Amino acid sequence: MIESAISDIKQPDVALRPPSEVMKLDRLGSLHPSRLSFTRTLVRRMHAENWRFDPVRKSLDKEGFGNLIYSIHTPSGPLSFIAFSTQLDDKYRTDRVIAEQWDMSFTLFNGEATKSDVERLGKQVPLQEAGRLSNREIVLSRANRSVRLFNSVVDSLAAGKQPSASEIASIGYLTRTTAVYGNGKFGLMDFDQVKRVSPFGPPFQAEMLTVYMARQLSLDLVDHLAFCRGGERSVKLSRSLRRALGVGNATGLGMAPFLVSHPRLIHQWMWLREIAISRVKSQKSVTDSVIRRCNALLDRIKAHLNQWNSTDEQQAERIRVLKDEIVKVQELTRTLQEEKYPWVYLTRWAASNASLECTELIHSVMLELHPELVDDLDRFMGSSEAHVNIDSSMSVEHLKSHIERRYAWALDIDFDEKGAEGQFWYISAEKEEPRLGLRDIDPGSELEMRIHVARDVVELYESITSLSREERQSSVLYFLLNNPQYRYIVNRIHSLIEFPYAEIQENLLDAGCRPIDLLRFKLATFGATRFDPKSNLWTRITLFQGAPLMDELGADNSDDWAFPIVEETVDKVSH
Amino acid sequence: MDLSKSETLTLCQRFFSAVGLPPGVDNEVAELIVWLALRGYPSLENLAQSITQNSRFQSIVEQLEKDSSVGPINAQDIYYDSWVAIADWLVASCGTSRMGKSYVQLINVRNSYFVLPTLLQRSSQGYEFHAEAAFCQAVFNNGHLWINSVANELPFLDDQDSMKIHCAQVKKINPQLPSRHFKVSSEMRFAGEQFIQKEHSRIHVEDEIYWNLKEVVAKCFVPASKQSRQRGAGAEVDDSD
Repeated sequence: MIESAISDIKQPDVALRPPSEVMKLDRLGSLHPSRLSFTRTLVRRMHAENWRFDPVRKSLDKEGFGNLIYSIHTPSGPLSFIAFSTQLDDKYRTDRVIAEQWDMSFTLFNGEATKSDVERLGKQVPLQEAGRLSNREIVLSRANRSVRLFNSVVDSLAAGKQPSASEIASIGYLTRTTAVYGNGKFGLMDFDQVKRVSPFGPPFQAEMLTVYMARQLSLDLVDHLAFCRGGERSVKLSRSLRRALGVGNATGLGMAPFLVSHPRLIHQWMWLREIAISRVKSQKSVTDSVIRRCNALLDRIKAHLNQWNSTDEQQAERIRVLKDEIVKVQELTRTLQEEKYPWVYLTRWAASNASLECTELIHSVMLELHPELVDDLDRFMGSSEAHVNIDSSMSVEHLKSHIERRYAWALDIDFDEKGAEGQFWYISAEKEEPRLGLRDIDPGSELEMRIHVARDVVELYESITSLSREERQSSVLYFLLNNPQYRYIVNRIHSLIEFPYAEIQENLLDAGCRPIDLLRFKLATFGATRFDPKSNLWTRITLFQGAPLMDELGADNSDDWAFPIVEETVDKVSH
Repeated sequence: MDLSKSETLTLCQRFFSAVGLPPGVDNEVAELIVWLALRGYPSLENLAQSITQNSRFQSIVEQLEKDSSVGPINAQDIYYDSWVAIADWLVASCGTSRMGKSYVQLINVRNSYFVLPTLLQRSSQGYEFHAEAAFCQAVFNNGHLWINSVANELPFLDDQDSMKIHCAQVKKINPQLPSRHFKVSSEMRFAGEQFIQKEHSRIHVEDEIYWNLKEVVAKCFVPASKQSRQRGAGAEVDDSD
């Protein structure tokens, strides 16, 4: 269905940037969220389809332990978000995926949950990976209270005061999720069934809704605890601060293998983004109204950058440079109307004069200013990784030519060079967590994961070039008969012929490879902000900060929350 | 326990990877197992049984137990042998069809250059079974092959002439196989989709079977260690916010 509908996509006049430019790790590691990010598309959809949220049904004690059930009404039918808040001894508190207990755990349930459903889920959901779910549950997740912020906010509210806006700005969330599982994991509903029976056709919409509801859960919990502790003296968290809070997330290597094993999906995300950018670049002029909105957005971005803190030296430096560059971008917008193809002018300037952070930020700004050129693309963000049979008429020579055209980036890698295979990726027996090892130092390289596309391509190519000219005229199938070890890579190459943005064009085994760039790419596509790398292997981020609250979804401005900032002024709300 | 389709696919793909199938082939065979299981055939049970009963898997498992190393031993041999192993356990444990014959279904068999000769070999040894699949359907009866390739890498086979061409191709690639394996009979008929049972959304398997398979799957994982925990994931062990 997706493939047939893609022919309807209006192609831009200005050419797309080539994959050789786009699919590089340093650029992917500089992406910012945009109108096509999944948090944004979910909120737009909830607004457009008038999703309704019933008031929460709470069964909590004075310490905030118990369960909370939220009913969500969509045009496809009801959903339930069922959460369990449990006591967690500090000695078991860790946000690593290897944890076995959490402050809260939750599931997105298809339909209205009955009492027996809640009882069953109360036994399984808090166990997370050790529990078993059914095909009524779509997503499984958990979160911990932020040690830095949660209790501090409760204490303020209990004392009748709103918490410090600057403290909220510096942290950005009350709770932090540590894993969000979907697609059949631990017995959950398979994604192909999710697409059939729920409103979640596009990818990661169910997961994003779960995170959105986790944000609401954290807000309801602090209000509940403040009232339990402060009684009539307590106040509820103000609307502006509620909106300023998102959900934190600690993201590690688990995301990276997904990007390699879902190449068509990755193509779809990047190809559509490039189409959107080129559509905007194809505009021959820019109106006064767009310039005004552009300036307002750049002002907001400047404030956003001032609240984007990172303890990572490299990221902190990138933010510092970006702040200076945004001032320059704003100066350029003053004369933008004098330029023919103004957005081409601006992006050319960025390509020659600005950092990758700034260049990609400009692209996100351009998309933000032109929803009429972008928003029709979001329904195509999904793709199928279904197996494509190898064309029996394809000759080995044809395959060789294709590799030379499409995988020149891989053939350029010298795997004899020191460090070219310095790292290997593996699955640990500990909760099956993906991890990274140093070859020849760490044990387990014989069990490395299959994410070394570049090395596989090079080995295949060398095998092909060792054949005689006559042998290369034979069918690829005949070649595979004698060389079945290449079946995976030949099939991958063959199945991606029509998907030029499918491959991350880097050697992921190289000692210098930064997995954090892979994480940023995926997280930006999700809609994450405030990237705060803690090493090259994991990062903290925030989701849904600034997003409209459940009761604000019907408002006209419910889509205007890109680059969120925390306002310093707060209103007082009593219980 | 009830398994989802995707977790069963992951389980089987890792199982076949652990026993040494080459990349890509492990996934194809896993899809076959899942396809069978979704239609109520005891493919996971057969697979678990094969761990102890099938000599091919047995030797691989024993080898794994000796040195814990996994990887292509000899890709081409493994590839061919694995299909022999698959065919063996399918034949040995398949259920009874509505027609009263031994009944086997195959799915996503994309490399019938290997599969069909393997099955033909077995059919010549007195087995009598019926194999069909969405991509590659083959019917064996009294040593005769009935085949229907729907969306295979090979040309669509919907008549005796294309069948003969296909058999000639297989014969050309596998000249060591006796000619009688490629006999195209005038009695040949073609299996249709009516043979394929309706797909379920879940796969039921006994806990013991599941954990037996998981035990083999664990060979794909690097054992837990403090060093791995601290360095491999990049975060502190007690990372907390």
